[in-house]
Amino acid sequence: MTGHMVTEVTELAPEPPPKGIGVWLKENLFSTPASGAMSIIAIVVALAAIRGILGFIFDPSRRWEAVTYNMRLLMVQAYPAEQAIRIWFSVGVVVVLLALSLAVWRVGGRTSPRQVGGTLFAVGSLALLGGLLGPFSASGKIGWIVVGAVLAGVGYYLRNGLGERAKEESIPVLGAVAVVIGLILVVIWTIELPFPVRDTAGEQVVSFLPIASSTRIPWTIIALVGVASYVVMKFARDLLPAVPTRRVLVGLWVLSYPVLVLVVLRDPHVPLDRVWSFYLPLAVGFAVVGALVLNVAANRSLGELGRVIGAVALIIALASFAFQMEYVVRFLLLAFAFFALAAPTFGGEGASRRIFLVMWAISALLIVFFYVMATSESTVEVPGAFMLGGLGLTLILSITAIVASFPIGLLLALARTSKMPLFRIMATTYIELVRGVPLITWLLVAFIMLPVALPQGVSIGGVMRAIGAMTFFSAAYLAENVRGGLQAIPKGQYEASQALGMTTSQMTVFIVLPQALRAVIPALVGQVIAIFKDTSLVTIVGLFDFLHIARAVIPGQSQPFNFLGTFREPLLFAAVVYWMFTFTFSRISLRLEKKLGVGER
Amino acid sequence: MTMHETTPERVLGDDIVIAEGVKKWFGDFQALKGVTTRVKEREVVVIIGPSGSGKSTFIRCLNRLEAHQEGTIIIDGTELTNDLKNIEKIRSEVGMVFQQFNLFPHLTVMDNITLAPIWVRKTPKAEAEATAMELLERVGIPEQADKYPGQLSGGQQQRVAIARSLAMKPRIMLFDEPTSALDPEMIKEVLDVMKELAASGMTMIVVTHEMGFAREVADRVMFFDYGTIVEEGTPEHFFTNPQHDRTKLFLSQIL
Repeated sequence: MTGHMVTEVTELAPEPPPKGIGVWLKENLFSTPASGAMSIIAIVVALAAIRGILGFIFDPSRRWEAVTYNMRLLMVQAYPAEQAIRIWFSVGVVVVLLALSLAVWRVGGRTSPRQVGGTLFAVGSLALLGGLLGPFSASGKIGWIVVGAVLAGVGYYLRNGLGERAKEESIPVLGAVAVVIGLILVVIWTIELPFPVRDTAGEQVVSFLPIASSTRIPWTIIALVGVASYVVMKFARDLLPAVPTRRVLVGLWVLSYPVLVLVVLRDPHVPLDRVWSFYLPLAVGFAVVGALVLNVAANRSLGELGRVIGAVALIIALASFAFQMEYVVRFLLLAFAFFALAAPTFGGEGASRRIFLVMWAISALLIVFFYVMATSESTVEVPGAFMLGGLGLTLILSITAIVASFPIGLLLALARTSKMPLFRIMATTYIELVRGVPLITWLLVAFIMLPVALPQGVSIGGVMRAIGAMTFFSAAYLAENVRGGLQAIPKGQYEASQALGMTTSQMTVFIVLPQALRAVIPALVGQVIAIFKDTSLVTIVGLFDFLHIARAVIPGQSQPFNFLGTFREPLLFAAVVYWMFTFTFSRISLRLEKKLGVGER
Repeated sequence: MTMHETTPERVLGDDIVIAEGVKKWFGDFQALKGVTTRVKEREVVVIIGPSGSGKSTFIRCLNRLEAHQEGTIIIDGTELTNDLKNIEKIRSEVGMVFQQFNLFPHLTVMDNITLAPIWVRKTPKAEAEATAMELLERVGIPEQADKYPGQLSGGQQQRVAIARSLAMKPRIMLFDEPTSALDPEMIKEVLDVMKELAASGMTMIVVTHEMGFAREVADRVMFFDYGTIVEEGTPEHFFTNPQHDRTKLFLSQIL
């Protein structure tokens, strides 16, 4: 520091002296004789485990082609190949939305060469170790050792050879991700791996096929479109207003799922004449007339009239179930009752009133749209009950159950913490009842006992039953998580809202729930992970989810190749795929936790 | 003792708060043992007393954060009963500032201030935001509008809390030990805002330990102990010539 800056003298902490590997080992693994002995035992166990796993994976008698040949079966089961473009389109939409969101929310900071080097070094060391321990041929061993040594060397150089520059956060994380995506694309277009294939007579034929031979074109297109949309949005985001852009994106995320599942994947045959003669007039009528009535109900100068309109709408909606009519009308009446009840407190004035009315109109149109789509017959012909199996079904089960259980769980949590004893007792009973019985039992109840209980002529498809069981199960757990968040809110927050004259529902919506949910985000992500894994239980009721195909379908194949009794390879593959999803979720949860500062105030 | 500044003369109006024999129990403990008093429009009343004397409980009864069990409370002509509509009406006319600020941590300063005007008073958003900016300027922190409460100092948070209450255009303001949670160097900035508010003619009931504020601003000082008003009078009378032994003891301990 120069002499004239007397006031601002802050010293930098001294650099810790560089430590050699020997010192590190001594400090961390062999500090006392006892810890040294334990370290040796742990190292031996770890090496044996690596050797065992590698030995299993690369055993020449392993039939990994049972996985690679059945990849489509594992992913989507019997969805017709000529319609595969629908699935690729859906994947593409999700990737594009993801890329746009990454750009708009400015996700992804920078990282230092030191950290990248550390990762490379770890991966390289593992590969090196694998080469030394694995059951490979001589040339295979050399290949692994060379690749491992190069990676580890580059990593070591980045970590220790750059000096001070290694600590600068100079590498954008998303740039690194783009490089990895590029490398994967290069690999799937160039490297061809030999797969030992046995023909029906059991003779071994070695054939070469590129990884993902049939899917590399779609994957390449999707990857390029994803990167391109990120780049475009990165430049466009500064021209767009921030908050509306984010709202539009959230809206697109919410709409994308039902649109992809109900419209894109099913390709429903819509009865156009009936749309013109009934559905469209119905939707527009409800939107317009409803908006006019809501405009009156939201008007504060009319006093209690707003609440009366809400109550009447609710009674009409509930009474509609006693009469013969299309379900869509009942749904519309219920939605209208909900809006009418909310109108006096949330209707607002001026611009907020217009937003409220537009939200109603959009809701009415969407309800009719999705009703028509869901009830129209699918033109995608799939043998068996449901259009998608495999990982596709697993994703549909888990996403639907999670999304549907969210509002139910919220209401249960609010009811359980409410002052009204009837609500409290009902919610508590439900939660304790559902949580006290294993999910697998509820699934069996839904499949074996529910059909007996349903009125004659009504039947619910297997997938819907599984979704129902999982939704109501998940809602109970979610309610308990949210309750934890509700109890963490200081009393002062309630008092301040009351002192400002807010009604209970305004306080709940604007003050209590936002804070409660923020506090329990980690627990909610944990719940999402649990539900995703628990979908594998539907294999017990015979749905063709991901695990069922890996566990029961592939080992039963005798045509065109004989995979009879090949249990282990598909199971291991399934485990790895489940792990990849859940590990991603838990990383996201960690990031969210850091970002929201959960646990700090 | 004699050097209290001359406050701009406020012309007191009619009774706006009327309390008659207000009693309140927490379980078996009687917190208020029959409090009777009246507060006029534009009057500034300071309530002092030892902790546990019922002074906070009393002003929390005035906007029904606590329900009194006996006696009557009439605010601006409306009696406080279990009737929800009366409670909502009174709460939107009575502002309250808390010891712990109780700002909403997930909302920006601007949203903290405009939330209630928009949704309770149904003020159009643009108008509510213009009013909020005026109020932030009045309390001296217009530049903090887009920050979150956690980014502000205690004194700034309390000033936001005052602005948040004022945004509802209340006729009466209640202050529940507004400076007790503040570091000494921040107390003044909050008291200055309160003095300005008093000078502007707001009806204020202030529970505080700031005797300087009481002496300078109050029209009337009330001493609470054991759930009753032991003594009340002008600051002049109260600080120079207290009548009651308990008042004398209390003042000798804190002055």
